[in-house]
Amino acid sequence: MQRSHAQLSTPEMAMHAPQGGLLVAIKATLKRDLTLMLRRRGEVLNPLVFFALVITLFPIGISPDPELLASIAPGLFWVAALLAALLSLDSLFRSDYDDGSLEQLLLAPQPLAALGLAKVAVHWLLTGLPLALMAPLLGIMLSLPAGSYAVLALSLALGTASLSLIGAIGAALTVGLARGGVLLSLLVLPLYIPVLIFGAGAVQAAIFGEGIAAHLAILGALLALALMLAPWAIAASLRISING
Amino acid sequence: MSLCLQARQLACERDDRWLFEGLDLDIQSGEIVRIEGPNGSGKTTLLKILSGQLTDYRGELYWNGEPMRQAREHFLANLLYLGHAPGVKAGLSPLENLAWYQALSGEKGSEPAREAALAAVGLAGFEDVPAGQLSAGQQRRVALARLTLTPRALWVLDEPFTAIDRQGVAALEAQLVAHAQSGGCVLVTTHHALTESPVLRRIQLG
Amino acid sequence: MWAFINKLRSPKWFYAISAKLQPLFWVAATLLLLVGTVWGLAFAPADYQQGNSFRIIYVHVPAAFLAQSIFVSMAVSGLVFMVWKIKVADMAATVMAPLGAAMTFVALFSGAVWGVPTWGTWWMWDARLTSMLILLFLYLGVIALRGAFSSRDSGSCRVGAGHGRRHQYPHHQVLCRLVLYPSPACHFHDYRALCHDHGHVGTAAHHGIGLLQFFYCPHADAHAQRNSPSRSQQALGA
Repeated sequence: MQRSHAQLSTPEMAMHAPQGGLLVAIKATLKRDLTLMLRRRGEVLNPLVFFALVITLFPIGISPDPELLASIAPGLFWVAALLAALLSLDSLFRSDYDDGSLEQLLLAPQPLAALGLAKVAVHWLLTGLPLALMAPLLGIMLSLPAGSYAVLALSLALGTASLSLIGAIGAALTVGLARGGVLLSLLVLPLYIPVLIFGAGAVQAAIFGEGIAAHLAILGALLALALMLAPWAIAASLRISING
Repeated sequence: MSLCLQARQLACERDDRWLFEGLDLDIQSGEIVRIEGPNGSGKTTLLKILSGQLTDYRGELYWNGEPMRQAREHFLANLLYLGHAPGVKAGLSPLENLAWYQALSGEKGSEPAREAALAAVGLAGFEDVPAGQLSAGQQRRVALARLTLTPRALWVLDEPFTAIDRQGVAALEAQLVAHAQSGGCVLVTTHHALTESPVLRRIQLG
Repeated sequence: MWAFINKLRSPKWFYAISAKLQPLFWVAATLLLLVGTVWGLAFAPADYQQGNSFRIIYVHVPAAFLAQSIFVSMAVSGLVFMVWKIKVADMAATVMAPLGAAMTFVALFSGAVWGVPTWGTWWMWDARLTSMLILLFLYLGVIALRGAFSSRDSGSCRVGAGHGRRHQYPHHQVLCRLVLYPSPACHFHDYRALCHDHGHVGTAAHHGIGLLQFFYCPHADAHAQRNSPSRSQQALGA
């Protein structure tokens, strides 16, 4: 703590002009969140285990008949993935809120929307993407016809990115509330419906051997829209949550 | 260029009660301004307003003569705020914590500089221990290391002495005075008795 | 004119004037409700095809109208609040939500009651029904969020933000009464919209009313077709 004594003779302190460095900040945020999540492996694995479990429940609860399973599989996968993504969303900003680093994030001289987007990207990388990669494996268990596996994974990868973005708005809105979990799902689930319709539609089209391009294109369009608007909504919601 | 934070007719209401009303403030370089008042008198709220976090107040804020709304970016680039919570991630080491904070302000920084800052707050040897395993006082010191690490003109510190031992308090006090004397400016709340010094000014709330 | 709008945005003035107007609106609402109900349920001629069951439209259509237009109004006042920081807009959005939710429920319920004699079922996953159900959930989400925030904020500093201070202003529901029951005059147009099974004459208008409807309906339609049993059986049987 001796350093500043040396500056006693200079009565004026240099002011900083707002500078760039956005990329540095984004990179550091990505790295920080990835490191944090990878140090708590359990939290990364939980949504995946949940996904596999829910998928396993249906053949037990409904019927092990392969034909029936194949016909309802697209919807099942999408509903299960949607719930798994939702479950993990509550913690997206929660720990940052608890230890005060969210407050600091809001005071950073960088655009909050960009930093929020970095956090959402990490969420997708560790939840949506693994879900998409895991789905074909479970597809075998539900006797999904061959040829629809790639579409299943692709539609989930595209769709869960939108889910992460939309869900982050809800997570940001409820982060200041003591028990925001149920409220979060109440807010976010209705907004998930378009993604669900086109995601399940893509897989169904693949099963029926129809064109899938339209469904995937709309999923992509939804993602583009979410990428454009959600970061601003997340930033605004965080400000409302923290500062009222 | 010297810094100057002004508030004009600042007022804030909480649950139909005015915390403060018609508050005029002029905070210049070379000053330590201590906000005083009993619990619940709105010290933290005032600091949050003055650090640009809360926006639902009445009155006007000026940064170097410009309305805060327009000067916000410049203001944030020169502000260092430490709140009640230290903002230290339990899962990251002190070094990693500091690296993120440096990057947030757009600087890459260097590992030796961060180690030096940690050594300056008495955390040499703890650089790579997960912050969750440090004591409350040590975690607070990690946050305080940012004062040395990132040179900012305006420090806004909410109860910075919490959980700090006696030597640490003396060192931090000296650091505050030195910052003011070198042209910086400190806004602080504390229940700790600060030694009288020509740069110290008090503002009474409540 | 501009001065008048400026005055309206101050909560104090707004509450003063709305307190004075409230009795008037109460009278108007009671009268219109009475006239509309009696006229619709007793005097209007029975439908040549559906008999007396069609009378549900005197409840169903205004409720559905309100459910959707209140949602749009909430969106607009939310925007107004965010852009111009007009507190009255936020308060308006707060009080609109429960009313909108109630109207959505009434529309859903009356629709189900009408569906029994006409379609022979209480519920089907038709595009319009599904989107109304989602609308209801959206309303409930908004209400829950408001509730959670106002219970949290009873301890934090906010200068006159709308929620959490409602106890101060008991007249806040005044404006909503005004729109509680639009006159049954609009029923003619919507009568056709109501008869879903006779074709889609009124659907364009119906779709256009709510942004939400606009968004969900075409998709849900596509979804419903895709899931139609005949098609699935074809595909699986082949």
